[in-house]
Formats: sequence, structure tokens, C-alpha cells
Amino acid sequence: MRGASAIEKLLEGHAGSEIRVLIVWEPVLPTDVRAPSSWTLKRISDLRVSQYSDRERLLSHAMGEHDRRSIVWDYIGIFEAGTVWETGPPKPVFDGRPVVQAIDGARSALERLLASKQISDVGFRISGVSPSSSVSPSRGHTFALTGLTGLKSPPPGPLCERGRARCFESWMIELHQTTKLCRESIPASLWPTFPLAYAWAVMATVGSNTETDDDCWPATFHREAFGVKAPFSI
Amino acid sequence: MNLKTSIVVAVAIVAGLGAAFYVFGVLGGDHRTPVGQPALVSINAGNFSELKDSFNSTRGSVRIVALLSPT
Repeated sequence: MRGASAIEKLLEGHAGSEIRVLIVWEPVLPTDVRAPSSWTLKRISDLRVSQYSDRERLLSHAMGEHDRRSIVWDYIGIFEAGTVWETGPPKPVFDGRPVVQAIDGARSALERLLASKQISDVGFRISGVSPSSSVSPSRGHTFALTGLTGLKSPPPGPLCERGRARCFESWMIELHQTTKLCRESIPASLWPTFPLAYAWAVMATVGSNTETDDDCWPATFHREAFGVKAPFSI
Repeated sequence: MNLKTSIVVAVAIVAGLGAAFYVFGVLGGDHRTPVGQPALVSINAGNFSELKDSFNSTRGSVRIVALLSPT
């Protein structure tokens, strides 16, 4: 029961995130004589949850149960987007038990995956590739995200004071360097289907509709002032 | 009724109420999921693939799977 509450709190902390949850109730204790009641089921009320009653502990057996001691229960597993269950249950990015003790690790893994997925979704959306394609970003791209976020501030002012053409040139140099930086933190197998440069461009233009003397770079895409057109529509 | 008997009766009543709550609240009653969630699915050897299909149908999302005891 404490495990259910811990999972509910975990979900409350990520309201709005694209998460799907499968809760499998299985009889383990002598008191587990019936399927979970409504009272038990409402312990996890998040709408992203689907609940199952597994009276024969089929999933536990599929995950390795072979005797009383090896029952898989009070368990939480985190699976990255793109993982497919084929012949047997797939390997999670993180798992642990009991849930109340594993919940902090689960939260960290979840946040890492959500951050990674956020980047990939932007990249896939811009490049026109479906995020549900077979290529799926792996974990640990928070470094890349940090790099992108850091570039949301405009390039140094003095470079932009020399005119728009000069400003654009400096912007391109910085973009190139950042793209290189981001690429180093991404598995080679994902590149080039993961155009972080495009993602950067979109992130940079969002929320900037006005132009000032020292804020020339968002207008690069807004006005096509240099004959440069974004290879996508925003 | 002396004090000792009264205490025993009170304890018995509390225990009875607790047992009733447990039986009808935790164990008994119906099996309705919270409003907005899909209905509870009882899986068995015949429909175990439903669980697998549900997992795979949301492959674009990060997923959490938990195995819990109802009590």
C-alpha cells in the first residue's frame, strides 16, 4: 500500500508529462484473497494509469519467479520510450524494490528519460521523423539539453553592432560550435537523425517577437533578412 | 459489568469494526478503478497478451510498470 502511494506521489510530481503507467496487482500475502477493491484501486488515481489484476502472477513468472522467494512484487520498473515488449518483458532503464525505497532512484531515472525525450521529440518533429520510429534516443542527454538552453541568450552584443550580416555570421559560428558540443554527448548511432541544430533554432526563436539593436538573432528566422529561410515551419 | 469486562467488550467492538472495514473495504466490494481510468483488467493465460499490447501501444512514452500486493 505504501508503494502505491509512493507511485501516486511520483506521478503528481510529473503532472502533464508523457508517462504511461501499468499497475499490476498480484496476490502475495495471505490476506490477498481477492482482486483489489475499489478502495485499493483508488490509491493510484492518476489518469495515465491502467490497472490490472494478475491472480496467477503471470507477469511475475515472466520476470523470473520460480519459487516463493523469487516472487517479483513491491516492484517498480522504468522503461524508456521506444522500448518494445517482444517475447519477454523488456529490460528497464531502472528497477528496484521495495517501491518505497526505490522511488528516489525511479524519480531520477524518470526525469532523465523525460528530459532526453523532450529533446528528441523536438528534433524529430522538426526533421519530420516520427518519434515512434525505431530510432530512439538513449539516456543521459541532459548535457546536450543544458547546452541548448544555454544558447537561448543572444550572442555577445559587440558582434551584433557591426551590422546584421556580421551578426548572422557570429551566430552561425556559435551554432556550429554548439552543435559539435551537443553531438559529442549523443551516441553516434543517432546522428544525423537527431538535428539538434534545428532544435536550437526553434528554442531560440520561441518567445521573442520583438527586435532591438542588440537582439538581432531571433529576427534571422523571423524576417528572412539575409535570405535565410528556416527549413521548417514554426 | 465491571471495568475489565467493559474493556474487553470495547476492544472486541473495535476489532470487529476494523475487521469489517478490512474485509469489505480492502478485500471486498467491487473493483472499480478511479474515474477516467480504464476498467480493471483481470489477466490470465488467455489474455496475458493484453498487458503486453498495452505496454507496446504506448511505446512513444516513458513507461512505468509496478507489481504490487493489494493488501
